[in-house]
Amino acid sequence: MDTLLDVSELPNDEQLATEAAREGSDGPAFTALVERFRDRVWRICFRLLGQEDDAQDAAQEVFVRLFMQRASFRGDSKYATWVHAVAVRTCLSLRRSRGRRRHYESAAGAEKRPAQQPASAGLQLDLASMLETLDEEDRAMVILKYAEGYSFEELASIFGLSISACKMRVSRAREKVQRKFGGSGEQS
Amino acid sequence: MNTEHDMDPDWFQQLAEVDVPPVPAHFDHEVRRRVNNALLAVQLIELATKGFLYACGEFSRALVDLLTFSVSGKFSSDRRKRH
Repeated sequence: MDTLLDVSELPNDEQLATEAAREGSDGPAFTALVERFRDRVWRICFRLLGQEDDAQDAAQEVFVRLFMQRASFRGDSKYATWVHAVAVRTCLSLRRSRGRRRHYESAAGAEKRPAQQPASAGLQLDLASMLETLDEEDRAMVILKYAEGYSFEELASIFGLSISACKMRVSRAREKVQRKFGGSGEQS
Repeated sequence: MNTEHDMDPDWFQQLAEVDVPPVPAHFDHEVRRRVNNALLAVQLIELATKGFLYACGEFSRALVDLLTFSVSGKFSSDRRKRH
């Protein structure tokens, strides 16, 4: 995008968001916001979706939503938190819609695969399937917590929950994974 | 229980070990294209709905005038001039 303003001289995110809300189209303030949050949104989308194509689609959709809803940011929270929340919601809705489709595809493909996975697949390959057993929001929380190092305070702001509720859900998610897969990483 | 908790960090630390690829090359261009498409769609919808309402208003006024003329034989503009 053509950057008309020097991003380094622009004010903080919240002031920039206010400026972007005044713009009629994707002007310099919104362009600067895209530049600032591009990497973080991309990381969230890739972590939650696991595939580059899906992540790219979701990350672009996040910025479209940010643009269309730019006037609704009231400054109750940090703009960064708001962006992260939009990114997470977008990824979750994309996963839900694509999950239904893939469920049918994988069910059809399962008939062609051997009945048992080799034991050598191990923990690393199983990790994704372990997380698939979790509720969508719990899975997202666990990924953001452990893969991206978000604090419980940040998770609480993103998911609109209390800090203790976030701790509880992550803890329960961990317990669920442990119960299901035990020490070996294989489903019991 | 302890064994389970000892296993836990190993499992979840693997999440952080998964590399995130760099942002695709034409990402900004695609964002801009999608934003502009969305903006265009919104403006077209707004134009269509507002234009439709305006047209309905205009035509209904003409229809009312026609009915008024049919009944009274006078244009509403004629009545206004007399007053």
